[in-house]
Amino acid sequence: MPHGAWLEPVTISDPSAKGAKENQRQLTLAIEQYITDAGYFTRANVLPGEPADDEYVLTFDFDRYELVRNPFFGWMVRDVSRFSASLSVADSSGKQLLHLTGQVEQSEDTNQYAPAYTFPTSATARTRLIRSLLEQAVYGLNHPDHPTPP
Amino acid sequence: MHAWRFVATLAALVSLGCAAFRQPTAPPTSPWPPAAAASKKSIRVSLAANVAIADSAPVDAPPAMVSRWRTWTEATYRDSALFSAVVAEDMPSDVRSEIRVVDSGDFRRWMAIVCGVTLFLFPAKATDHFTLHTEFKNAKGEVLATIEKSESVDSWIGLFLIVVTPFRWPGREVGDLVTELNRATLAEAHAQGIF
Repeated sequence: MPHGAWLEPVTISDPSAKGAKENQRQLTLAIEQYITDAGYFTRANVLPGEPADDEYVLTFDFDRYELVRNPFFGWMVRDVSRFSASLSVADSSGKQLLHLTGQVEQSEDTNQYAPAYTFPTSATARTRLIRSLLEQAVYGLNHPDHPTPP
Repeated sequence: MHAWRFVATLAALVSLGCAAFRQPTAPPTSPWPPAAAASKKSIRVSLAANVAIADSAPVDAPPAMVSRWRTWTEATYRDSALFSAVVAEDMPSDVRSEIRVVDSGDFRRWMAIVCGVTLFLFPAKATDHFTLHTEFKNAKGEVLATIEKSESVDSWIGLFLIVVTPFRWPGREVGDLVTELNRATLAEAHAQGIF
């Protein structure tokens, strides 16, 4: 996709999300880096700024952002991640081109000797959801007449 | 006899302490603050942080940890007196600083086991390798400079370290380290004429 993208700061509108303010900031930079590393757009930046005429504006919102740790078996625990998010794509004038939604749920077992025990992470599930939304967005922008992948 | 045992146990518990020691790879940034340009620019600072234990993949740092690192970083940017303002992340600015911190933790398993078996009589050590990657961009999103700085800090835990703990508190050592890495970054960017 020979265009750049600008990100609105990511929002987590899930009222039950813990640490939402800090996670929003972390997510914004993580998605910005992911977009360029994965090659969805030629470059990525975070608004406010001055997008060029041919650049897109992406808005991510997570209306469900949940990471729950449950006792599982003995010294093991199960981390369950549940995410639901939307991605809106607009052109640089603000005209909305696409609105996509998606959700993901994933559970992962860990134990107290594993690094994931100290720092529980939901990165795998989150990345899966963000990748899916970005892939749909790129497909939709490349196929404006049939914006839904077959 | 029981009283002696109690006193000995209490003394051991009270003397249990931890201490951290920075391992700088360069002398402290000097002069600080650097001489500012005649016309100053505004800047907004964004920071994300990841942690990794041993050889595991980096994951998001806990929000409380990121928040502390952000506070130290913003304070350093303000102290530098290089900018007309250090604005909030949702405010427009002349320059944007995107900072990614990675804390890769490493420990010697045998030391941890011996430390546990000897009830902390033999100390254990862990090392945190900090890398601070900063990208400076203008309002159009063009990259002006990319600078990376790194430093490690060794943390010890064991009996009798309580004597050292007040002078080598791990939180303060990490705070000094993050501050120094940001100072070195700003001094280098300033020398390149970014601000």
